[in-house]
Amino acid sequence: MASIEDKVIEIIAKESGLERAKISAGSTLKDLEIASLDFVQIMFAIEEEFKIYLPTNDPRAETGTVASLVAEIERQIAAKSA
Amino acid sequence: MGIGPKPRHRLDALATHLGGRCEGDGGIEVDRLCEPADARSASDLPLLFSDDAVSQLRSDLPRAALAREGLALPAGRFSGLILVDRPRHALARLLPLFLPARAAPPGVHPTAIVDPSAIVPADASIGPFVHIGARVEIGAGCVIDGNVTIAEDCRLGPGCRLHAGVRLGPRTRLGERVILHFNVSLGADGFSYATAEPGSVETLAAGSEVRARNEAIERIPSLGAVAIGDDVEIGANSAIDRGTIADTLIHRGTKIDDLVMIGHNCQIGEDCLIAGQVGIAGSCRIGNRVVLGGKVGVADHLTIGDDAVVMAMSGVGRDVAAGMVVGGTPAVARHQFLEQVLGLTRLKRMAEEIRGLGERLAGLERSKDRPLD
Repeated sequence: MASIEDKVIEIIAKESGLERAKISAGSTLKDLEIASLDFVQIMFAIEEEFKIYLPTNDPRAETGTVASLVAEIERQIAAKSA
Repeated sequence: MGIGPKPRHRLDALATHLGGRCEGDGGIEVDRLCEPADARSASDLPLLFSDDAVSQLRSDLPRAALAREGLALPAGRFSGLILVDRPRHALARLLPLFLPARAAPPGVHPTAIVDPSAIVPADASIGPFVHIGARVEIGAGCVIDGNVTIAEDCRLGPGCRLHAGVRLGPRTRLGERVILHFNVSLGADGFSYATAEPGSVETLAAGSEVRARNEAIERIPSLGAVAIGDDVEIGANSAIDRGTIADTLIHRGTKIDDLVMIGHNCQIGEDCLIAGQVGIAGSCRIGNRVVLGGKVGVADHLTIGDDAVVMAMSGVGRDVAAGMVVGGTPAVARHQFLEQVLGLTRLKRMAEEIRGLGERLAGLERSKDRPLD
């Protein structure tokens, strides 16, 4: 089974049109120069995939890394199964 | 205009002109800029600004290229390179050198109608079927193409370029080096009317419903003019109306795209960028270096602060503070706008979740009401 990180990178690649190889755990969506509406679609696709809601009240979301996004997903999945 | 030999440029001279870095043979001469897929001669200069561009380069003929600093290029492929940090800025410096020269002979075309009181310097070029009104002053070196109308009392600074079909209303003033593209209209009468009794919108503003009809709408003529600062450029078919009493002002260095409408009494600051189909209602104050994306609408009497950015398609309904980035209709801070978009995309899933919860709740209530065996 693909790890959460793999899946998140796959979603970012699909929604932004970037090559997978260019995206790593340390990349921020800002570094990847992802347009604002692509960013929204990425957030939405992640929410659909993992059946969660990402926090939207953080204006720094776009400067967070893929790793921090993965950490948030893991936290929410753990909270749900607890 | 005769077809002469294409001007050739040395690589090292171009690099200096662009503020870039020359690598390899600076003596190579190029005579044509091209997309990488379109390269076909040894003297072509393909533009390589992305990995995709590099992969599109098929011909082995070009000896030199213009590339973005840091881009991975096939080793030894080019004998000479110009490397730049900011490709688009390099284009702004580079393209004018390759622009085909257009013949604009000085003098007044015999079909032009020039009022005897107008001042037209000998080095200005006035094209066919141009009309120049009374007391107009044309600056040195202005080039005015065919079918341009310049009403009475206009003043054009030196070096202005008016493309075919431009119309200037009475008293319009242009600074130096202003460029007006096809069919720009400056100084038409403003959209300004009044009724004797309070009209529908006025009663709506006072309460929350319309309590009057708009009858006998009277026009308020515009006594002001339009004044355009130095180095302003206005795109094809854009219209800027003249002020009611004072002038509508566009300050130095601002660039306006095609099909933009700017209402009467507006004041637009310096170095703004206003994209296509923007509409700015009357009496707005737009600061310096403001960027308005395509199709942005701005309601009347609003102020947008310096360096603000309005995302494309936004409807601005209240003032925007300096430095803010806003989006959506009504326009809100960018982050809030993106949250709204995400909220909308979430609605379907949330509705399904609520329905599921409702069914579970109904099930729980049924089991609660069932008498215990």
